[in-house]
Amino acid sequence: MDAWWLGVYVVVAMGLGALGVAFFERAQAVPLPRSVGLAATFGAGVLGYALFVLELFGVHPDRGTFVSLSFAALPGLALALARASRRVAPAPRLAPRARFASVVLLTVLAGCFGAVALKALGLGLYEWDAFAIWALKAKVIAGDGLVPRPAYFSDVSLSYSHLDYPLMVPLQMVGVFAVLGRVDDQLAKLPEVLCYVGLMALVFSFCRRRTSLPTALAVTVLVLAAPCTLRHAGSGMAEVQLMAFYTASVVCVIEWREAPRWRTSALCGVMSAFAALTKNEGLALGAINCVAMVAFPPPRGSGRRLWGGAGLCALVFVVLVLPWLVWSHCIPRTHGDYLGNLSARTFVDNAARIPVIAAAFAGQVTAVAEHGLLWLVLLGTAALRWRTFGGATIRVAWLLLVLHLLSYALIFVVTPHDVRWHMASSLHRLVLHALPLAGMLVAMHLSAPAPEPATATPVAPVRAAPST
Amino acid sequence: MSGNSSEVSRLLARAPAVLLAGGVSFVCVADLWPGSHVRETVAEALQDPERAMAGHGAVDELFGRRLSPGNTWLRFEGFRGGLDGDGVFLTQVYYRGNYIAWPRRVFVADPSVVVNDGEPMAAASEPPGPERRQALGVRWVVVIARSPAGVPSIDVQGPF
Repeated sequence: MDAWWLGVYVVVAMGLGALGVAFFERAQAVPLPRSVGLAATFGAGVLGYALFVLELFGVHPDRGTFVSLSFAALPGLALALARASRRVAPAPRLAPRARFASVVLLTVLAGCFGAVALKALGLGLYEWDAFAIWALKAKVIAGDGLVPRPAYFSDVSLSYSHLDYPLMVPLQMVGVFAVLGRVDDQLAKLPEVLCYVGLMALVFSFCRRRTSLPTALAVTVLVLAAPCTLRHAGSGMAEVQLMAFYTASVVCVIEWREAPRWRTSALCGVMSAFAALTKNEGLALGAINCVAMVAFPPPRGSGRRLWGGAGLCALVFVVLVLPWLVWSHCIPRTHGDYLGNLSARTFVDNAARIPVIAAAFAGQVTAVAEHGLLWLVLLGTAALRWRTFGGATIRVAWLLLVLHLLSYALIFVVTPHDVRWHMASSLHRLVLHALPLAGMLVAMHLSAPAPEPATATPVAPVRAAPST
Repeated sequence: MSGNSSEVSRLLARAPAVLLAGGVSFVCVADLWPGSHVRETVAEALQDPERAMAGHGAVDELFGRRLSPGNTWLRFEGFRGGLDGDGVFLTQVYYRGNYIAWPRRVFVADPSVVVNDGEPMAAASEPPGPERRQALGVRWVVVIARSPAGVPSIDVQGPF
């Protein structure tokens, strides 16, 4: 019976996501991996957000809520299936070596999915952050709702659980509790599996648009099978959700530069907001996305469209995040209030930390036990294809990465904790958030013309039709 | 000369493929290496899910089943709360205890005291008197102590 109701949860999330794909990708041929990636990511986000709004109106989700939501979701799924069936085209034949490599890489990705699903659904909550921060909030909301604000959110003896952290992940868990009719901290991790699939499909489809099939799969493996990714995926923490929402938003920023469309900018605002509602880091990342859209407009398109699109992204972002900011502004910031700590004086006082922080970030490049070789592959690819820096879009993508890491470095400059302890406990996890963007940059470097039009290789830049 | 140049070009063109292949091989080996986190947790999920939770088992048993119904006052004696001391142990018991017991509560200090680490727990605030106990809904007092010789003990009082 649990499996049936968990299926309802997945159908509702994917169906709502498919509606989003139908709206945001209208009049576009959408390859299946991209549809799956967007549907899973957008669906998981919109479901969490819908539960937040319902809770604000005093509606506590239960099975009936999900059955009602399925009336909206099922047409979305039907629409997505109909669109997918219309576009089935034979994939171009691959060379035997490329086909073999693709099969091997697909097997690795399938293995990663299996491992994450097993960890998520086969084990209880063993990670500290998972139970102390996220699942505790889920239990609070499942019991007391959000209106009136439960006593938990002002109980400073529970300050360690970060009372002010956003509620996307807890609300996704609350949804699972609602369909199951009970609190189950093992199955509560289902949305994380959904987001892992979404992240995988998003990274792959982005890379596939730019490179050959084996190359796109290889980059996806580098990101999704990195030891740090697999350690946190399926553990009940918020990292995978943040990575999925942030990756979707960055894809939008890059595609906005390539082809400015209103819907892309709006989707960027939505995904940035979902990231901000997942972890506080998402607020900074969303703001960076909005600034990048304003500061680096696409080369083509009328001024009105470009400014309007960037404004639309910022507007959607603010409108979606505002209810959370209003609802949470009274919550005591008694645990690492980085934003409140952020001042010129703190920065100057802690300036001596900067070399330590810079060294720690540089050390992450060679932290192969955490991130595999992805950072080294990125630096190597960028060096080998240095001419690709001539493209403005790739420079913007690099800028996003640098600003992303700088915003995290700033946290360590102003942290009230011992900076070495703080970095030792969280730096690898923060850098993990940037891993998909790093992988996408590898694909962008490989997609541009090589220094010499020499012999073809399995990873030769191919602007292949995204038919797989 | 031109032969050398074309050879270099050919190698450079292949270099990204080599980088990618190396990166993929490395993560596969790292993930499958004995002792890797993902290998361990997947094995536990397949063979012995209880083992993965073993670190929390005693706390789950105490706060999940034994100390019910009602709230619990938790007192630590003989511990140092810093991270260089017993902070990890104290926070594990308190954080996990509160999660497992919820919506019942576990207190280590007055609810007005900010608890972010082991320091306030090691301060070992006195258990509340009957009136305060009643106000907080405390029906159990648990004293986890460590003697100067390092011998641990646990004393459960209640239900009140």
